[in-house]
Amino acid sequence: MRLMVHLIAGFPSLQGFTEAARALRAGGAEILEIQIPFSDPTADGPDITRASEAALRGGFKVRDIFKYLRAARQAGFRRILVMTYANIPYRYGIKKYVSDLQKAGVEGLIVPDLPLEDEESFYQLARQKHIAPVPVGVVGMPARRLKLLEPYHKLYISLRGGTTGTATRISAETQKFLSQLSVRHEVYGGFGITSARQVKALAPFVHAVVVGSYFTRTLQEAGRANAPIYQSVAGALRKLL
Amino acid sequence: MPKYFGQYGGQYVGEVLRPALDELAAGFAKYSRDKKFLAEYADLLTNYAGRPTPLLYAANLTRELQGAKTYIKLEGLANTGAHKINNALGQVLLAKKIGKKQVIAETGAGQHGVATAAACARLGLRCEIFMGAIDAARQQPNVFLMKQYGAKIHIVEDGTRILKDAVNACLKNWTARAADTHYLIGSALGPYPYPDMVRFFQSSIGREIKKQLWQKEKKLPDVLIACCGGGSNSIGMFAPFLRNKKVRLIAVEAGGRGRKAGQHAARICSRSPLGIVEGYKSRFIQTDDGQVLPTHSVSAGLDYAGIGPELAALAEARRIEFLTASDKEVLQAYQYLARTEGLLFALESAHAAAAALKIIPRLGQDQIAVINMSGRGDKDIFITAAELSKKEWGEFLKQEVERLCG
Repeated sequence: MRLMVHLIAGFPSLQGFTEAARALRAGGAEILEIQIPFSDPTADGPDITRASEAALRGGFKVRDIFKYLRAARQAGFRRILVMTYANIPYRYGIKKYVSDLQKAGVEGLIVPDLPLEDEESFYQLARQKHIAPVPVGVVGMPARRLKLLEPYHKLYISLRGGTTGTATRISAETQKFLSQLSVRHEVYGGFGITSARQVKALAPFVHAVVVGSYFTRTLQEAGRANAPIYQSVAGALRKLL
Repeated sequence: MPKYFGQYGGQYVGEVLRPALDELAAGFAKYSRDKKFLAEYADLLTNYAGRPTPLLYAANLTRELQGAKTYIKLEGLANTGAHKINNALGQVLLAKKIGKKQVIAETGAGQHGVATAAACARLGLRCEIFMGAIDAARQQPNVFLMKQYGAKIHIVEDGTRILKDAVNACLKNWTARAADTHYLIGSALGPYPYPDMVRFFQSSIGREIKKQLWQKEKKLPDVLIACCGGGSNSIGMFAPFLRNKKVRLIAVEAGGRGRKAGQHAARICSRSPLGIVEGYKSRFIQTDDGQVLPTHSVSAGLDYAGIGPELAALAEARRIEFLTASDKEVLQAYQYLARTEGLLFALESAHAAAAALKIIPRLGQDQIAVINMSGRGDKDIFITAAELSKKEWGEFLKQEVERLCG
């Protein structure tokens, strides 16, 4: 069973992020998804939204992502994906974004609001630069849209609509959808994963189970309780396994 | 129907929203040409919204300014107090036709929320309105009115807690329930097909002006002036004149308190860069990094960091001229129009009036200008009275608080 865990760059701080990453890697997480905070996220629930705001208030700049990538490597992560919203790479320059993150050793890029029709050439540029563009699909998407996912090896599949941070039920239908895709793709599946039961139900059907806002909440709670980050995150991860 | 306007527009949304947007685009394409639908919509506009709204010859203003002969389009006389009802009725009717059971909408000033809540009440759909906490606090009368129409209000505590945050909250909420819910965007922005749809439903403003002016003057106007936040009233006024190249089109942005970031909402006039935010590509007030910046305007309805993609394209093509009006000029124009013509402009619309007061004296007396009073100003009494009559208003509020809570 493979876990893909999620942290926000700039949250709670570089040091806090580093400790959380170390705890996650030591606890067995294989892939780390790092989110670059954006002021107007349209697919995140309240926890990630607030943590992103806190990161921006704390002065996070997009170029700081490279510090966080180094920290993640030092924590032992070899497989790192970077996620953010369209306006961040668009302002940075999509070509430069793709190329700089490739040079920094990032495995894949997720930009959920850049459409598969690829008007901004993000998917094309990423493939040219040998960094995987990871499109975001959703369970139950219509066949004519599924066709657009075919060229991509790695896929991020949302288990449902709504926002991150609320519970998701993993139905037989969901399992069937994922296992069909997994024949030809490397599928990362998640959205609202908060329990060992969900992880267990999902793991056989995907390359990696994605756990997102769960750890952001852990960090927020640790912050409020003034609890040590490493132990809090390690404890939260153990509960999932 | 174009998905892009030049380089602006598009449909930058997650896969999860695509089925709903495809369904909406197909429904709009079908019903916008359906005679029965259009007849039903026209009936609502006439008998419920009160259209056509009058085109008033502003005789006193014309005499005082000694420039162009000036008319004022009284959109504020439409039911619920602003042009917003045109689009709300159109989209609620469309939602009903494509089988939706409920409507969600964001609102800034509350005018679009009130119009949506009223249209839903009239047409029998459930309604939920998302409003930033700061907007809800400063527009409490509209919160009350929306509740009277039976709408449920969600207060948004994320981000800057104003309009853009309410838009984000709505988009998120929609992803979980798009199958039976229509998201009713009130401005000429958002992902395709919203900019097209809002222009379509608001174009009666411009079409009526054309017809009414022809009856009165037997000619086209020389200058049209409208305020511009997201752009629904301006594109509605301008769209039927876009091909009449001799008609000058002037859009007025919120100049706020000054030119520094955070002090205004002038996207075009401050040369804001391109961005992709909230599902569409346009010009956004943002940092070099692409983070959307806070904005300010005395009018909640113009206090927004983005602008409708078609308006951005028409600005770039220099078909629409953009100007700003400051908070101070706006309050002066509000007072001037009240005394001179007996019209209480909404603070949004008073931006158009403020710019008009500068432009009209410079035009020839053989020219004709039309100002769009997109809304009426009753709703702004807590802002205008606090600015213009602070002492008496403060005493009144104090008395009221004592009476209610004492």
